[in-house]
Amino acid sequence: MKRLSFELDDESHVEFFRTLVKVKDGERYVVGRPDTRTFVELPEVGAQAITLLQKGLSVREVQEELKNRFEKEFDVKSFIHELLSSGFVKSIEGHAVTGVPVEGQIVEVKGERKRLLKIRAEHVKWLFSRPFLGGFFAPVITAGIIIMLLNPSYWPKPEDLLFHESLTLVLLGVYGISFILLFLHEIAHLFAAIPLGVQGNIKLSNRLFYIVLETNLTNLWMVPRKKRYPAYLAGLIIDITVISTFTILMWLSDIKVLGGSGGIFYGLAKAAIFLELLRVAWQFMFFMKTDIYHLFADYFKCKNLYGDTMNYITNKLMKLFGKSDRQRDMSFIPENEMRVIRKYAIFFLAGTGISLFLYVFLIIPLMAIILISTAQHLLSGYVGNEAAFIDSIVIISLIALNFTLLGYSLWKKSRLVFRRKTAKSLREPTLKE
Amino acid sequence: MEKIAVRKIEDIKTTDLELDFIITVLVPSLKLIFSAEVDVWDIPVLPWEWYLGFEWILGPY
Repeated sequence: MKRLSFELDDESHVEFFRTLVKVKDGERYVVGRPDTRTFVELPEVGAQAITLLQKGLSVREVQEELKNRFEKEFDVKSFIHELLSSGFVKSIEGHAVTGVPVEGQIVEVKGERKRLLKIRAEHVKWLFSRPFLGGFFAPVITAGIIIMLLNPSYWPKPEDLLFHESLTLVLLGVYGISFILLFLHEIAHLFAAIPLGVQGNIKLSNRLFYIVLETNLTNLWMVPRKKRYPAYLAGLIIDITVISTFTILMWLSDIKVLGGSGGIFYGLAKAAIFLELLRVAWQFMFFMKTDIYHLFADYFKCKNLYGDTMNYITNKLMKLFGKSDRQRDMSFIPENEMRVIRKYAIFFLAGTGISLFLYVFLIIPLMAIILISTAQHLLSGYVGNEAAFIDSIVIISLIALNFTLLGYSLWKKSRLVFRRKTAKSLREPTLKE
Repeated sequence: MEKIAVRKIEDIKTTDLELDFIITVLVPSLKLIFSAEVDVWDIPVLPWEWYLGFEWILGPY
């Protein structure tokens, strides 16, 4: 038996949190609380029901009014029940709903809502403005592309990573550059979102077995769709600009305008370009929730593409194993979205399958080779084998760091899922019929 | 009585790949390949045998 926290009947009046916002998005409405970063999508009738309830009409009065407007009877009680589960209802008949975060309360895992930077819109709104995009980013990117097209020697190659003979120096150098570029990418997202009135935060997470930094920009749902696109693309714009900038610098160096070519900085620039290329390519693996995934899903007006795809695949499996009664209801999803979901499901399965295959049959064997080679160097001892010994320690440390970060991310995710499940069960309402 | 559909909207979380894992696999592999300690074509050739009998470990590496 779940905890009884309130009673709802036909004469009940509902009070919503003041932070509840309602934004028209095409033919539907996005409704949610930016303070808890919880949003749902409603049809016109749902938005009107909320407006009527906010005006102080009782459940019965709202039901009658909706019947007059739409010539249909709607189940307002179950609708309120759903809004309660989303944490939008503050009180019913003056009785506060328990187990729901009040305005300003932090709901996510401790620390998640801490803002990385206290930067205001006026500080950064120029960065992804049309004049700056056209006057700086576009010319730099174009110049870099032209140099690469005219000089194939600037095309990034895997061996560009080996910019020095010392493996330790290469690993630490590449790791350092990678870390800086990683932050640049995520800060670009933050800076693109701030002028839209959206504050985000950066945290460590994972996609499959990849460690990632992620920026939570869920409140972008409050802004019109076309304004969301630059926020999704900001990181990629910075990545491509970095590639182009380093290409231009290398070219200037080669034509002796900027010192001579071939030094350590030249090598680091080449390594940075290859690393950025890997990142850009990875973003297009949008069977995971990458930046391109969000752009793709939003373009096709799918607000829960990943979740709906999971449900679609689960339903297919249930049907396959003769458990059709356990299928999830997807009848309310419009046909245009279902078309995208069906195609995305194929892409998702193929992409995930190939990724896992490569991980198991390429990455793990490669790692085994490296670990064996590393162990041999360590067992040979330090004396007479100094460079290889230090290389081995650095490799093992970085591999250990990677698995520690992956384990930490998975542990945090599982804790968050557990907390959300617990919180949901506490505020699950029992309706008085 | 018709239900009013309430659809959950997913979180928007932009991401970037932390390359630690790629670096630690890719860089030493490239080093091994370019120093000709490992032939690049040998790496993924016999994964099944590696998994079945650890022949990679017992082999030339």
